[in-house]
Amino acid sequence: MTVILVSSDNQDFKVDKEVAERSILIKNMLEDVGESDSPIPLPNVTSAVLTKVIEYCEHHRNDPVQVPEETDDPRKRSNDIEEWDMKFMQVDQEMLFEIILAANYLDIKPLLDVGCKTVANIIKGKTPEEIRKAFNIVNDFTPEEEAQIKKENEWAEDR
Amino acid sequence: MDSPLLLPEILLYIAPYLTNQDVVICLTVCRQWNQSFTPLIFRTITAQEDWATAKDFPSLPSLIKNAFWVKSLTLKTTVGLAPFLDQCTRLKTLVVHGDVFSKQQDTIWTELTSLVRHNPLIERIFLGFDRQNSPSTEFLRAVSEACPNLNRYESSQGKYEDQEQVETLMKVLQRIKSFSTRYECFTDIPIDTTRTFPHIRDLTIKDAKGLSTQTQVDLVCQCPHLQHLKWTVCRDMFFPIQQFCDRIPAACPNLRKLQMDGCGIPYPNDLSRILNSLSQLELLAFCGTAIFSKTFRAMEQHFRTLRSLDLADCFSVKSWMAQGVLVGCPVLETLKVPYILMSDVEVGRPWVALRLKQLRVHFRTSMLWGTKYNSEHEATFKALGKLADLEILDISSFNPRSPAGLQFQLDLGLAGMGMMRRLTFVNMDNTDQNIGNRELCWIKKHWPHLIKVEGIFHSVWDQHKAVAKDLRESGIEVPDQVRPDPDSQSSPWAFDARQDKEETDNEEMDGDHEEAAEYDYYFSDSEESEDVVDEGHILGSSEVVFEEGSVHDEEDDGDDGEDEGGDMVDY
Repeated sequence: MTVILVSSDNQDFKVDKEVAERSILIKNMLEDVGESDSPIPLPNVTSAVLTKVIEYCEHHRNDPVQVPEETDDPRKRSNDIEEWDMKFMQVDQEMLFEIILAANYLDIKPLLDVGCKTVANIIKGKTPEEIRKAFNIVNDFTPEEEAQIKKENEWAEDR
Repeated sequence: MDSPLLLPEILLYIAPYLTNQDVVICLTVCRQWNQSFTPLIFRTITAQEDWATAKDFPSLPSLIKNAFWVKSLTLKTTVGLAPFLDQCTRLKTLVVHGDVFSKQQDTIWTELTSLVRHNPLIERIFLGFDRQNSPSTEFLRAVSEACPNLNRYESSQGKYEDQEQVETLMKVLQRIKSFSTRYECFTDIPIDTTRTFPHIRDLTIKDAKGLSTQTQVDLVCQCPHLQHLKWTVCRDMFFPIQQFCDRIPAACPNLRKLQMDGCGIPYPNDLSRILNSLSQLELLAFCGTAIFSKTFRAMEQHFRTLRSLDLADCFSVKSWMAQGVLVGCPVLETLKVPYILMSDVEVGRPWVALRLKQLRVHFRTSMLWGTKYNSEHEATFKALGKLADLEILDISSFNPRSPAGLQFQLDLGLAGMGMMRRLTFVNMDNTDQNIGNRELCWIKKHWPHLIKVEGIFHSVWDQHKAVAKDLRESGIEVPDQVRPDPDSQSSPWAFDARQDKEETDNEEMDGDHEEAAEYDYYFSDSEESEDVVDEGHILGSSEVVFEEGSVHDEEDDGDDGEDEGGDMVDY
């Protein structure tokens, strides 16, 4: 069984239901409407991004469903990205962010995880200035404020 | 403002993958990031007695300013913290333990009562006492009145002398799902056994002094929805086996998880009566008791439903029993048993426990080097290879003198384990490995999710260090090992001789109940063992030491209890 997804720029994507249901949002929508052939509009996702997302879901179509962890603040590893996922995430930063936003919107937890791990790996070990440069973020602190914040929170470094 | 890195919800997803150092750096990137990451570093706060001078504790003004974000609070003192405690309103977990109760006797309960009164979100309270104190009635009243979300209440080493106080504690019990009392003393307090505790799913009673076994059975029977019981009686009591069998299965029809130790059970075969009285157990953990054939047969009727079985710290658990569990429990996810002979795996039926996530068993070879040795290894690797969901594999032995465990060698068939792609932790302590470069490459390629590997990887120390270094460079945690003394390594012959003796002695024990009466141990909480895995001592509860077939109890009565609070801190 297939479903039709429609991107924000009005392109149709025909995919297996099983693949589309990697997205919890789509899975819930399909459950709500029941058997229906009507296309599913995804106004927040462009065709370029949707192509990538479908590629991911196709590859992971047989993965077991993730059980959400209950623990409140688990430290997680970010260096355990699978080879295929790693290659999949080798895209420019704009696309990386688009994928994260789409994964968040479509509720595809494993994809969101991989995206966030990729971003975390970029952040790790960098100075604040390097992080700003990497993500094109404007520093809106004065040097005094920055020093003050650093001093105030030093305690948390070595916990 | 298209970047998702400016969205707080996305930053919250990213944060768990960062180290504390990275998070502190992120705080200074920009205002938006500062706001998003600040709640994170204040989520869990532990106030040690020396908090005012401690380097890993925030300044009081900063703490007061961010009290809103504190969800989990551990107090070993409250001195000087009043202005902060006043501002805490969103606590979910409150842990209080240490000398705080003896040192601040006059004020502590007023402070904690007030804290509880203005933290309606509290879900879990843990109190660790010092055998001299216990919660005030006002505090318990506040807990029962002001914390509608409270699920778990745990208390350790309290001393109760006041009837009203215990009555109020019972009121708390009527509200919660999970209650734990450990090493507590109830002095001459009659307990009203007519109440019911309708929400209790999870009950731990460990060494409750002053409560008769009759009262303890009554308490259990007052929990009609009980699912999980962890119960140990004091060593000077007899476990009420008959009453258990007569009353508990009827009073607690949903009881599916049982953890016990051998305390008060002079005849280990009596465990079979308990097992026969219950149905469809999902979790079973015995500790410090012998498992004889009769008990094992009684266990078999739960095989269809068992998801977790822990017999690691029992004795007389034979290889055929371990194999029997593996060929008999289709939904098993966790198995901890002392050992299994690889020859039993080779000649036995294929395993059906293919959903295993955690396996702790010392695979022993029955042979010296030779053709048989190869084939039993191949068969074992093949059997293990079918456990595609396995996350934790612990083949270690707690006896440093027991060589010849499962050898991770490609020419012995290691490649059979290529499908275990979910492995995160492998413990191969005391198994005499000789992992070469080929094996190392294979391991890194086929077990991509490894977080931690423990053990000595090669008989040549430099090669061991080379493997350890290589693994660490791949981001895998490898605990340091002590270089073994070459003289202490025994030959496989010596091992076999010991093994034979152990088997024979155990057989003798089967009929020797007098001797069996002396075995009494604590049972290990499954929760604790989970924590233990996190901290990397998978053998944390190895209080039972086999040697020459006899069993030595570490003569340390309160050891388990002394650090009770400490166990909980890192929650």
